[in-house]
Amino acid sequence: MAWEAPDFVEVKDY
Amino acid sequence: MVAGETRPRLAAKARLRWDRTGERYMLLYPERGLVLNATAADVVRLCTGELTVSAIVEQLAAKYASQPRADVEQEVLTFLSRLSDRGLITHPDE
Repeated sequence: MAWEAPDFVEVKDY
Repeated sequence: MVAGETRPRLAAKARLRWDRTGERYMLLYPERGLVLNATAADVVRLCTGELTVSAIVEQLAAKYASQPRADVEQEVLTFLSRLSDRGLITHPDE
C-alpha cells in the first residue's frame, strides 16, 4: 500500500 | 502542540468507525464527522494514549517503507495538529 499524506474531509444526519 | 514524546489518544467524544456503506473510515463526534483516508485511519488507530508520536511514526515508517521517514513524520505531525485543533485528540501526559 502506498503512503499518502493523512487527510480528512469534514462532513455533517453514531 | 503535538511533539515527538507526547502520547496522543482519541478524545472521549470521538469514535473511529468503519462505514460499510461508503467503505471508508470515519471519525465521528457530536454533530460532525471526518471522512479519513487510509493513512489517516492508520494514524488514528495508533492514538491509544500508549504510544508516543515518535513510536507512531516508527510504526508507519516501517509499514510504508518506501516513504522517507522524515516525510512520514512531518505529515503525521501536521495531521495530529489538525485533529488537536478540533479537540479530537488529547495528550494526557502534558
